Amino acid sequence: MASLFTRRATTRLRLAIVLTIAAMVGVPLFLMGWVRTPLERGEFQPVSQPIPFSHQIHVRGLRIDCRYCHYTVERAAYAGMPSTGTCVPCHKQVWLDGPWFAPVRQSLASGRPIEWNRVNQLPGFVYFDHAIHVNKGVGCESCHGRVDTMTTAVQVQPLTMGWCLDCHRQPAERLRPVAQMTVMGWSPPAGESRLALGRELMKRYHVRRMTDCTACHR
Amino acid sequence: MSDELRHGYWRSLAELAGAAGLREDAMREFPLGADAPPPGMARRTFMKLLGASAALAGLGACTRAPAEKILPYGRRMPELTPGTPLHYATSMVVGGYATGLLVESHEGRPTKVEGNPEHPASLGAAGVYEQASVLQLYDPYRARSARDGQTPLRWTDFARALHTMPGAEPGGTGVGLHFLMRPTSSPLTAALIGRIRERYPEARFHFHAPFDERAVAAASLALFGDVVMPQHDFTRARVVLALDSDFMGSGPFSLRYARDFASRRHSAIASTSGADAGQEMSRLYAVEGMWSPTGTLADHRLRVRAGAVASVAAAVLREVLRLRAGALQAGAVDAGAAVAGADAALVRDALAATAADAPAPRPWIEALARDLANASGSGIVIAGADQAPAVHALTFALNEVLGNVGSTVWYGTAPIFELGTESHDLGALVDAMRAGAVQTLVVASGNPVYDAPVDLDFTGALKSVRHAAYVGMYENETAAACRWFAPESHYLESWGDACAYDGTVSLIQPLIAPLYDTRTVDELLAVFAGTDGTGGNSAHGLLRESWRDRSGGTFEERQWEEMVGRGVAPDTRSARLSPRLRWPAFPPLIRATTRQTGHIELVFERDPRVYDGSFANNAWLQELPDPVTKVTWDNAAVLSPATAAKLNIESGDVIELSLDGREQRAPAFVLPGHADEAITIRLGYGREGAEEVARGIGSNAYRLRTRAAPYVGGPVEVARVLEGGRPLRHELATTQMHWRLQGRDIIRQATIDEYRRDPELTSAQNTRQPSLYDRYDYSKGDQWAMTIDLSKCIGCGACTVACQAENNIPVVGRDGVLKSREMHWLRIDRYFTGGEEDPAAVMQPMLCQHCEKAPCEYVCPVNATVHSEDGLNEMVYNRCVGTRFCSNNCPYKVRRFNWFDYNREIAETVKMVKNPDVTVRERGVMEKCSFCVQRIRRAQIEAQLEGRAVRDGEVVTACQQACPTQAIVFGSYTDPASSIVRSLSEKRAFTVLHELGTEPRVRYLARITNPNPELEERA
Repeated sequence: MASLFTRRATTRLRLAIVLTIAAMVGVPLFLMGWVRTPLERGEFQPVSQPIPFSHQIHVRGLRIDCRYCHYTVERAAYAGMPSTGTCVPCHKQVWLDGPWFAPVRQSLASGRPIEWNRVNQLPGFVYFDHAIHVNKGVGCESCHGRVDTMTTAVQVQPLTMGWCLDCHRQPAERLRPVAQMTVMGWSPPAGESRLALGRELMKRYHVRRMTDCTACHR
Repeated sequence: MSDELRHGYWRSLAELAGAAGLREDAMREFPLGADAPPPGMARRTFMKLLGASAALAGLGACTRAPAEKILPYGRRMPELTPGTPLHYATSMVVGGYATGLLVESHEGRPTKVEGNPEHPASLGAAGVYEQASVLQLYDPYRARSARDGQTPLRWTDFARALHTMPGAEPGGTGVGLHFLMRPTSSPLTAALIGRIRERYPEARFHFHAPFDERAVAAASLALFGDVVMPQHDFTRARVVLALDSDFMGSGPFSLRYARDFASRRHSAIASTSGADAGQEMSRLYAVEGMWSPTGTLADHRLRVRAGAVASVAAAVLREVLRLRAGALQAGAVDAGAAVAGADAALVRDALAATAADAPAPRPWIEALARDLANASGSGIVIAGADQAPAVHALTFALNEVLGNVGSTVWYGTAPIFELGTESHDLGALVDAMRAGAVQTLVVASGNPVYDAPVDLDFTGALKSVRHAAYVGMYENETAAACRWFAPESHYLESWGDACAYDGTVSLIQPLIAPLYDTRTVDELLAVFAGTDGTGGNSAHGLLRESWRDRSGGTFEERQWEEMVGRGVAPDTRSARLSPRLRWPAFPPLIRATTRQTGHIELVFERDPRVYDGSFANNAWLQELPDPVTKVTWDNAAVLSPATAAKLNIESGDVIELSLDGREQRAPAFVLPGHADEAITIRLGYGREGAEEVARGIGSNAYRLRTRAAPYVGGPVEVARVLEGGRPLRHELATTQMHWRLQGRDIIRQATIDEYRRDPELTSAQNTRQPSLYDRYDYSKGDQWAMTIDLSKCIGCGACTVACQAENNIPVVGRDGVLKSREMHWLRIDRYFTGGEEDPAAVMQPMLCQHCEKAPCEYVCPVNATVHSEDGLNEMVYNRCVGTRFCSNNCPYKVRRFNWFDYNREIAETVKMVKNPDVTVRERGVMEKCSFCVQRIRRAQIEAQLEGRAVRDGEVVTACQQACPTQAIVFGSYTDPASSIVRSLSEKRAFTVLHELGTEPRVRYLARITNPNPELEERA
């Protein structure tokens, strides 16, 4: 009896079955892997800005403290973005007439803000508070990385809930003295371990392990 | 009687009768159809959407959140820290009187209204109108542009057009120029009116509001020879008689009175078990037809229709005088307080005539009179502003005779401008309009076409006015009848001033620049007052100038800044007057009451939610359940069960009310405890203007309201409306029957004597229940808890609206409420006790109880509701997948489900009212009371930054803040000196559904009443 289906058809069917099963397992696996890649989280991706502002020049070159521009970081939820007026005292001397500075000049003339593009973005249901973090000994660097080396600011941490919780569960290793908050590339004094110092700082600053959902989600 | 009633509490007549079907409904969490798709969506569309959304749902999760911009300020604002709200003092005017407020502003955007603790009318509380007013600011249906006919104008062009109208030409005398305004207490407005009168000597001003104080003014003018306003001190009142007066729920000083009354009562209850036991608790008698919030708190409530209140008051006065005479003979009292000899006979005759057939049992009157007389000098008799002059005269006389005047009651000058004069008579204006004497009519605010007495035919008269201009917030009925129209600013966009009821001058300060091209009424008047320059006539300039004038030029910048900052002008309370009561004027005044019996009377009341209709376009207020009927998005003709039975009417039947040949349809609502032979209908509904939210909702009772009978009309004829031989029905969207607690022992109540004898009455509901679950150690750190005092709650609903504003709670609309989809995190349950005809009422606010052993948490499959270390039952929106198991397992029925994306379709402006500190929830997510966790975390962070613990009173929940009687106490019980510990340790504290062992963090304080032992019929 001649076979009902050709040999090729059978092969195709087998292939289809195998591929379907592979897809059913593979696609979810791929997606689960994908959301764990830095690419998906937007890490290390340059964000274009209206002005080619370089943190490297300002922080490393000119040794300007973070808080000169991000002026509410110690007392408010938002770190604070500098108003246009903040640029002027120094830039009156230099660059103010340059073509890169057109948005600054326009903003100064009209009073309308410069539209920066956000680099470190949290979902709307997360209520992050800068003030409490920096006052408990979390340095800028811990989340924002070596800003002093960035010509264009990029996100360097995953900013996922798991990443937040790593620190919220075990804060000791990430703490530093509050006075060293804005120092880039800080390491503990010679002979002291990060963990031991962190434990001491936890006591000194009354740092608690905050894992209640409403600590961040309200 | 069904077993549900074994505790004697019931919620509606159908429940009392054990109606079939009701029990079945009660077993369901939501009524049938609650999960039905929105109307207008066919099954096919639904299936398509279902397929599409399933396909897209997966993809949606793969994309990143849209990129955000950061917009720093162009110029830094020194006072403003982005993300940290600021509070500014301002005032809101309702009915001409100011209530001081503090308004929260996020980066220049007002989001939440709170009371100003320094203001005498608020003391930190805020009522429903104030709370909801912030939504009105962002109302997308507000008028945005001035117009001449249909031609849009700019405001400045409108102002120029005003000057070309006859009578208003510069240099003219003002012949034919008339202004129609709302009654005002603003010193600035009064000054501007004075200037206009100087410039245009023939111009005329008229004042009209559907609810006014003309009756009080008339009585006081006749008896005292001057228009004075009675002022009261409830902190010192031992016996209070409220004659159809909702002094705690409505009126210009109600927030203050509620606080004063409740604080005295509470200190008496709290001291019961302590060393200073025996402090006298105040006793409240209420005489009223329709339930008012005040009436629900009364120790004795006499159910009397509004038209018969005068005769009850007369009977009380008569009895008091009789007691007085007896005491006089015994030489026990001061003769000065009694009626002078010559007038005594006349007064006695008049009282006898008025008090004849008073619909009150004689023992009741006698006991009340004795109680009042015993509390001589520390009692208060207070009458509702809507009652006839006779009742006010009787009230003045009662307080005089009882010796209350000078201690608990005194008189102050009337803050309302020209109250009691002819300018407050709309009839005079209409006559002038008919006679053709009005060339130009400028209507400033208000809505006279809608709310003027129907027999005046204001609309008809307006047609004979060639130049009619209207300035108001909406293109409403009056705007439609006027050729010229210009939009008015909201008070949160305005500078101005106004007086509180006690005369305190309160500042109105804007929180935001006008959203549209609008001006205030004062700026409109300035156009006529001749200050029409460039910039000189801004309300801010006018106000500064008027204060400089008032102070004689010694007013410094610093003083001004301080005054604006506090919102109150110091030392401006009106002086205590002691006018002499002229007894000869008394008899004719009380004889003037015409009493008719044997017919049904129609009572017009202000609505506790939309007031006179001016707040009708406010969706928060429309969805707020009425304090007693629990009707939302509607008004109804309310009547008693006996009257309904006599007329063969059931709740929900559409009835036709005929009064003086005018007819109006309204749905009936049968309410136990309402007076017989009377129908109460709330005004403010049936709007026909451009206010989309309000239009077509409810029934316009102004169509039956005449000049002669503004509050009580009759006889009214009532007929059921039939359609095709069957009664026409209108389903009222009530929250009444939803989320019933099925007759369990959830309310505890005792008299003060019972409580003193047995302070342990709730001890069985205070213990820990055995449990299989491990005990978590809740003794460290902050541990949040709340108490709610049932002795204080009047059910006004301020907490519900405050919660809605604070927590971004959406509005679901009438159809949503009909399907039990309402989203309020805090509801107020109203229970009746006693017989069907004359029950007592108890209010119980119900919110998430934050159970330590929460039934909702055990059943959530995705851990979206969990417990925090500090005792909060947390709801994590971003985890919730909407199984609704938690709601099903919640014994308190306080969880709310987002059936639809209620926030997606709101207008851009309405998005501005959202609190940025609280997540805006989307479809398919469960939500519930969070104990205002955003406020807790903010306070904790602030305390941590300052290196200290959270102080007592630092965290105030939105409901607690709004509550006028301070029935809600909140705090951490690990602080032994805190007010919450004091409150929790009161003997009468109990947990609701204690037998379930849920161990709630919310405790209720049993309701303690103080009935007169002589009248102990329903203790």
